[in-house]
Amino acid sequence: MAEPDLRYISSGGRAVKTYATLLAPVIGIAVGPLLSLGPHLLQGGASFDPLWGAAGASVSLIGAIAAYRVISSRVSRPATSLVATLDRIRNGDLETPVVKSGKSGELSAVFDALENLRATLQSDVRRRADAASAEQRAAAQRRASQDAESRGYVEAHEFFMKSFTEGLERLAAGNLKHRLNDPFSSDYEKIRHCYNVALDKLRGAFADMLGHIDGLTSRTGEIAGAADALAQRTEQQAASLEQTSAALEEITATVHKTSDGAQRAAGVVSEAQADATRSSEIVRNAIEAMGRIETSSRQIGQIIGVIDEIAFQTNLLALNAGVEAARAGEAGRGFAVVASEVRALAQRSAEAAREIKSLISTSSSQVEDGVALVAQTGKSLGRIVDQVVEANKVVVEIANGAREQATGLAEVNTAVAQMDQFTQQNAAMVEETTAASHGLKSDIERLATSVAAFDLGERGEAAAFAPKRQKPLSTNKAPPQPRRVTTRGGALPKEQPAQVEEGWEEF
Amino acid sequence: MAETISRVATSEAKEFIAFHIGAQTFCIDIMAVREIRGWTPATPLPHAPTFVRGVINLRGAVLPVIDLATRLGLMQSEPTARHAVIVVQSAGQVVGLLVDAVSNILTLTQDAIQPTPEVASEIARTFVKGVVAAGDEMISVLTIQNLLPEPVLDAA
Repeated sequence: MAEPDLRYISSGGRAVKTYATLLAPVIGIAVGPLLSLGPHLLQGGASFDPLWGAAGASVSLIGAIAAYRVISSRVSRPATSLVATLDRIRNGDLETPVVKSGKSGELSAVFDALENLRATLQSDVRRRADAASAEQRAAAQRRASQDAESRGYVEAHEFFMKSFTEGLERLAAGNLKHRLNDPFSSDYEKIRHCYNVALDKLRGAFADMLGHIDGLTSRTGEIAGAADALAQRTEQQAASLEQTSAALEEITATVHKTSDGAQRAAGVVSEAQADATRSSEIVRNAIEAMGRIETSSRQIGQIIGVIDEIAFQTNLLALNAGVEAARAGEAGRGFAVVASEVRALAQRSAEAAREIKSLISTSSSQVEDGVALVAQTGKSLGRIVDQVVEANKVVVEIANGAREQATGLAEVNTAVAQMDQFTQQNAAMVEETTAASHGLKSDIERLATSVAAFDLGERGEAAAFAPKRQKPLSTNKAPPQPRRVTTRGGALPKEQPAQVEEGWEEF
Repeated sequence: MAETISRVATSEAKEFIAFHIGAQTFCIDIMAVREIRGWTPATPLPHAPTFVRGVINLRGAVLPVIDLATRLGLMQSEPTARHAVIVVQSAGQVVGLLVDAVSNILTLTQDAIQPTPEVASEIARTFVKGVVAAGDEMISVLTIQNLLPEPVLDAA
């Protein structure tokens, strides 16, 4: 602050500026809070108008300056006092009343004016000070309240940050049971609520997930077991199909043999038929030959009859000769001897003829028997031919049937081959299913492990799930190797029974 | 035969014609026999006795034929070509005797012919003069005169 000297008076404009400058802090002190509090005061509806106050002060200052210039320009002696007074006033000493140093009217008036000014200023300053103090009190109060509010905010913020960070940290650590139970400030209460709701929902979701994981574990276990059993059964089916195929091949071979045998039998039967036909021809010839023999026998019989007749007549002639010889007496003795000899010859002839006749008769009856037998043989042969023809038909039917059977068996073979192919495809799919189910199982176990990392607290599900999760983890460390299903003639893989023993026997 | 001839030579031997009727053998004196011939169908005579077969043509002469089996009271025979007719002559009568077969010419001495047993009936003894035992068979010697029936004799 520059000393108020005459330089300032000589150069009044500057002095005015100087005083204006000097008064400016006062005015700034007075007006600054006014201006700063302006909106509050305006909002509060206060009657004080800073603009008008400032304007009044400025006008007063201008008036004082004008008076000071008049005084300084007209008075030099009291000027010093005046200056000192002014300086004092400038220095803010408004308590001290202005002492008149001169008796001149003008200066007195100046001093009066100055006194007035001082008084006015004093009152103004007091008023302002009052106002400022009031303002300051109000500001302090406001600040205090603001500070308290800020502190509250900060504390609430810190509490919120601490609790929320802790909650988030616990959440990050997998603790889902840590709810934010301490209420936050109203600004953060909603966040707490949201956090708690989110946590509850997460916990519920995880609990659900655990429940589902348990169900999924058991179900995937079932699926895996079922897939294993299915794989085993598919392999058994494949083996059965192989056996069926082998049996079918054997049957096919047998049927082919049957067909060949039936065809050979048909050939043999045809030959037998031809032989039988030829035999019937032979029989016919034999019958004819027999007939010729019969005819010859009859002719022989007739001839024998003639011989017998001749013998009979010769015998009669010999008898008559004997009779004549007997009549002749002694003279006829020799003749009687001759007649007797002739008669004996005739009797032998008759005897021989009779024997021949009986022989011929026997032969004839035997020939008849032979004819009858040959005829029977012929009939039998005819029947045999018929039966052979029938047998030929049957054998041909058998051969045809065997051929049809072979065809049917070929179709059955094709079907079995297709079934085998499908079974292989099924087995491949079952393998994939098994691998997928085991993969699913291990995925679910990993999921269970991941979910187990979260502490669900007192809801109970997690505790209930915990021992259950252990079991599948221990039994299903490694997913079973995908089994290769043998296509033909392969033995069943030996790891199957071990898998079955794990408790899926009932499938 | 030679034996028979020798026997004839040593004793009063006679010759007989032996023949069969059924299973029996009979014989008659050969001196009564005119000839022996085969059977030819005879023409029956009305109202003739049953043992008269009928008449046959013997070289132009009508010859009555007597069925000897019927005449002797045996089974009537059915004559065939092998039956024989012995033409006999007795007391001027020529008659044919139908027999089954002429078997032999016997030469018998008188002592070989044994008389017909007394037990036989009068008719049998009328016909059978005696019985000869020849080997294992018995031969009845017939009396020709008695064989011819009375009507025939009357007719003759």
